[in-house]
Amino acid sequence: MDLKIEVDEKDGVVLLKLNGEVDVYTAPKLKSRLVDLVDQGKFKIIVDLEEVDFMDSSGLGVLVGGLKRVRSHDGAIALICTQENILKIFRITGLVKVFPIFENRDQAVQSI
Amino acid sequence: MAPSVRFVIPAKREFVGLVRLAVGGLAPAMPFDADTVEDIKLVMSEICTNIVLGSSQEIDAPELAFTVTMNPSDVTIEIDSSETVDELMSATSVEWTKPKQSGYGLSIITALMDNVELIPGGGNRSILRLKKFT
Repeated sequence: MDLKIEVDEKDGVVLLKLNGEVDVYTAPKLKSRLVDLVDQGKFKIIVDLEEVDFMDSSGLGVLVGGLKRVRSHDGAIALICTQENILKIFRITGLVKVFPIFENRDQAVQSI
Repeated sequence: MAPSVRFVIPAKREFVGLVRLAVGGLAPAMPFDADTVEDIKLVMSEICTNIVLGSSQEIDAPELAFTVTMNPSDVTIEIDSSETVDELMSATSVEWTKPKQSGYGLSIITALMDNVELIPGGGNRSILRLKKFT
């Protein structure tokens, strides 16, 4: 069980591509990366969840925390996700109303 | 007698993934489709996370024990306390019985399971019982 995070940046928008599982063990790694980005002045972030095999509320908490951080700088976080098992937890928790969720990178970039 | 499997793991972050693997390994014995088994894995991850975050991260960490019973009409999961986690279970169980103290994890647990109840035991001990019906 591991979480790999690839970072790509284009035109001031950072793409975090996650691969693996996001739970109580791996979520701190994601949190650290998000905090680092905000500290570096990156406030427009897209998180790609397409290759996430599993995510629970630990991951949701980190994303919400990241959203609060970037919003305090007039930034935004958008998500890329088409996996039903991941979308389900956003629906259950009502976070579909908090995060804009897109099917691909182009759509996410345009929104942010 | 319904088949039943008992797991005992250290209550540490790095073992929560093992719980999901273990529950997933029982899929062939569960009367559910793959999506429902995934739901149960998610619920167990949430519960274990709740316990792990509330537990000491010292070397002698408490253990987390749970039993999965595959009945013909349901799967029942019972998470029980041990002497080292009595206080923890008592504290965390309050959250499970009072949904108004909501969190994302609690929302997920109650949404995906058909029944969530706290069974008082002897002394400070208690059992959290989850049921998913076929």
